[in-house]
Amino acid sequence: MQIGGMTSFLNLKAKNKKTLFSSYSFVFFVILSITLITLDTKNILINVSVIRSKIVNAIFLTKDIFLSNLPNLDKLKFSFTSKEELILENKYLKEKIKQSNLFKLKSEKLEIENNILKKELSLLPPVLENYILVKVTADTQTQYNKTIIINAGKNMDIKKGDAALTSKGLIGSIIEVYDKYSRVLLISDINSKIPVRVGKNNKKAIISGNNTSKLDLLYLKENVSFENEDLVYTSGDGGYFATGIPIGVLKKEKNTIYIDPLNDLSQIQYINIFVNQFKDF
Amino acid sequence: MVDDIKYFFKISFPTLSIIFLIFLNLFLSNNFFDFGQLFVFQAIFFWLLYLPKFLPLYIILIIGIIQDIIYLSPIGSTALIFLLLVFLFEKYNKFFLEPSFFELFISFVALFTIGMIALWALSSLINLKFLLININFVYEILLNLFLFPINYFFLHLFFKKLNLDKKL
Repeated sequence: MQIGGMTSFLNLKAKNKKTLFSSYSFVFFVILSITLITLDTKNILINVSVIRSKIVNAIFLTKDIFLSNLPNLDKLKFSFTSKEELILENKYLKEKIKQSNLFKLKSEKLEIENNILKKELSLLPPVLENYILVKVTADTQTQYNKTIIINAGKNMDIKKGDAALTSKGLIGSIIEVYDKYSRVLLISDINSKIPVRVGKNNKKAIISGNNTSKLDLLYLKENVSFENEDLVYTSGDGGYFATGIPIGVLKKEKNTIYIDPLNDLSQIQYINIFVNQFKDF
Repeated sequence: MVDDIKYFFKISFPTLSIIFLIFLNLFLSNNFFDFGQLFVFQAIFFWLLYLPKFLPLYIILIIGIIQDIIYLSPIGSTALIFLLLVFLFEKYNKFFLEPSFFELFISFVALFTIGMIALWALSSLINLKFLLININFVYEILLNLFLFPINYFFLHLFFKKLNLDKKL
């Protein structure tokens, strides 16, 4: 018989016809699973977040160790780069630094000017907006759970409830924080409920995910009318999200209304975490 | 000493291969294809067929719990689906004496589809409402069915190369 060949691959023989397990142990494990589900859904399990945190950290640590031990092909390629290429690259980088310094100076000048003008107008002091740019480490979206894991956690002072957004708009909020990672609950998840305002008339509503790419609009007052392509943005009610973060646009199709998110939630790579000013609210 | 390491490697190979598939699904395949939470059932199915004694129920329970932790499902839900599929596999296993690959494939199709429906039913029960089923549900099943022969071939290759069928 060939090892791993077609002969053995196609002519299979079941080796073991004995009972694989005793019925007692099977029933025990089924009862154990059901008990765990009940305890977890009712939030009775103590320290479950600590256990989750430890296991997620261990998984990502294993991945990091594995990746750090892989041969780095980029370094190998770099060692073959010629001296002339390096000189050219150096020249180009120096130019870039000059340019970026110039932009930095310009932006600092504008910021100072802006602050002076605000003081002259007697406006309230500007709210400190703190964003952290993070990378999506693992896409853990399934049919029934829409979450992603990002590469910043307690080490970057990320807290539960912080908003996650891109330059286009809101994608979700932090629901679990681990040592070096956090989990973002996407707006498309069935458990996501966000207070919003719709359109130019600022109509209040709640949007809810339904595990698809479209979002539902809930708790609308009777006789409220909306225009197609109305912008939907956070209302700030409840104190979790800042006001005015765009989420999506309203779409009308055959007597049904839904929200089309501005972001493609299956293709997210980099996101900003808005460290929430209301986090101790 | 070396023989001891070899022995432990052999007996833990089924579990290691399943853990490898968990990693593959989490870090690589999910960026391109969504194989879903039940992806690792491909390996569970294979090892239950060839080396069931090295894949005891508590290992299946732990694997299910790890999946739940990764994908933020209620702890125990994936494990319960896996246990249901193992139970059905056990029933099926007594029917066929020498199944061909085609028969195995058909039984995998049946079990996987039942698993997907059971997962949907359980998720709906936990959320206390009927969750929507969209085209991705069918797409996920088809994707897993397409990958099953490839996965099967490689696992079979390791099974033979490592002489896992020999008595330890």
